[in-house]
Amino acid sequence: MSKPSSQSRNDPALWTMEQASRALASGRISSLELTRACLARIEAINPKLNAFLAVEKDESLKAARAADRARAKGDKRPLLGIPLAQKDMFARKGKTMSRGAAQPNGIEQQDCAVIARLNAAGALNLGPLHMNEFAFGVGGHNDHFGHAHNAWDVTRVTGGSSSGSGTAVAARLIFGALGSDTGGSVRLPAHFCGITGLKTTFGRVSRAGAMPLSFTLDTIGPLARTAVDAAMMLQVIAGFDADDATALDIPVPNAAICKKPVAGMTVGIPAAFYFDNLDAGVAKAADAMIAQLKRMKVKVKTITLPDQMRINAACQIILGSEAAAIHRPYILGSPEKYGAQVRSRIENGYGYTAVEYIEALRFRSAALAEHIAATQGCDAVLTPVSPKTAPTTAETDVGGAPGAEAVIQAITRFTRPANTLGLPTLTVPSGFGENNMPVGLQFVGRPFEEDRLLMLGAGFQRETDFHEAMPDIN
Amino acid sequence: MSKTRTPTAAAVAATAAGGGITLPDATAQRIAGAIAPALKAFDAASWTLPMAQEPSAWMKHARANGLANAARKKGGRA
Repeated sequence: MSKPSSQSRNDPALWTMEQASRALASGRISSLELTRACLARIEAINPKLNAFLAVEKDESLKAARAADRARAKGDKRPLLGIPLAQKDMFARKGKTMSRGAAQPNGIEQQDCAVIARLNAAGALNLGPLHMNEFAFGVGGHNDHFGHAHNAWDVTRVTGGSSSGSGTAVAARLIFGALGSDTGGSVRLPAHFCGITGLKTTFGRVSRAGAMPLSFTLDTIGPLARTAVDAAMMLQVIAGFDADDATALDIPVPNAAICKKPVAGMTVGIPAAFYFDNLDAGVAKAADAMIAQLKRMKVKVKTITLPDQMRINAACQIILGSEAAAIHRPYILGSPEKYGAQVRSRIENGYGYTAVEYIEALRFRSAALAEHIAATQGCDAVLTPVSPKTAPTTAETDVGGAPGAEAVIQAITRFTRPANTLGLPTLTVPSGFGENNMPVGLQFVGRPFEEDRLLMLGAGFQRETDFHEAMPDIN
Repeated sequence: MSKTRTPTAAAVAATAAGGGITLPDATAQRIAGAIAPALKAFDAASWTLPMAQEPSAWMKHARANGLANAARKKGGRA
């Protein structure tokens, strides 16, 4: 682990988004300088990580100059001139999105909702980021584009499917990135790469124009260096959208919420399931985080949640069924273009009956009601993201082998319940575990209570420095 | 008592065929093994949606919670 030295802090690419935004607003730096700093790091480091599928250098520099001109004329948009990059599953007008796949895809005719909102806020986009094929994976493996590599140890997985987003933000190549989370794909990269990741409430952020994996589980959220940075992105991308019937008109938290004190807030600790069979390093980080919350005068109480195994199983049935339906034309048309693991996982969905799928959907109503009742009086529930730190790429490269699904289910057993129930969760760096790899824990909230998670995450980051730790990847 | 369906390769192949997908025997066998744990843990047949939850609409709970949270914020609480 290394932290920025006083000298390296002069590299603006190492600032947080909040710091960069302030520096831009005060005229201490230009967007062009900031973008050049990021591009220099990308050029030096990306070959080791495979985080970017393409770097749009000339377009980025042109956009940065335009942002500087706009700012000189008084433009104060919230992300004006901030270099970001996005998982390659969000449609951009005039571009082809790979979706991490070999299946052909045409040129997009318009921006998807989240890209349009980021553009409207003035953000820059340095290029498409690596992802698991069709976002259907948990490690950052990709048979078509090569595997992504974890900035903390390039022999280890980034987590997926927002693999490029995770490792690029960890390596300080960009200030933030969008990911999608259907079964853990924002939180696993945040945990494995030591960054902050916000899985949003189902219905908080429009999916219009984004590649679907599972209609009723997919969510979009930011991966960033801090909770404040994640809040800055959320504020821009969230809110009602007529083009996505599930995107509800519920007030969006302002990033200023992060400044609120956390003393007196309450965090629930599940009595069962989440703290069973953890690796020692993850367990130690969890204990330390609970102790830290108590020092911050956050109340901690034990709670009993509904049957998480059953909720996980419902997620598997829903995800399998919906992905099978979405991919049916490709499976019938050109199955040979899939990587072995993705094809086998999609095929699994053809084993469920319609009744089983519908029962799993109906179950969510009762399970969410139970969850809300069980967490009354809690501002969040704290759990690990995964029982382990990042495994090696080789040991998790299980392809379509018979045991592959079991490996994947083990990695995602703490993340899927929030997808089944549509809950928001904020993953924050919480320490280091086995092999000196990062550990992230997640604050799980009730629907549309991202504000409380961001308050807790920002409060924790005011008192700790895990989020400032940087991989020694230069 | 649990009434969990234990998927067989033949049942998987038949379900897939209904969707126009022809599965080789080995693939059907692999799928049956892959989905069996979820079907056992979910056990749909032993579960009934309480009448108070009908019509099933899980988003109504989410929306109600979000609106309540927003109202609390307006009142000055977190």
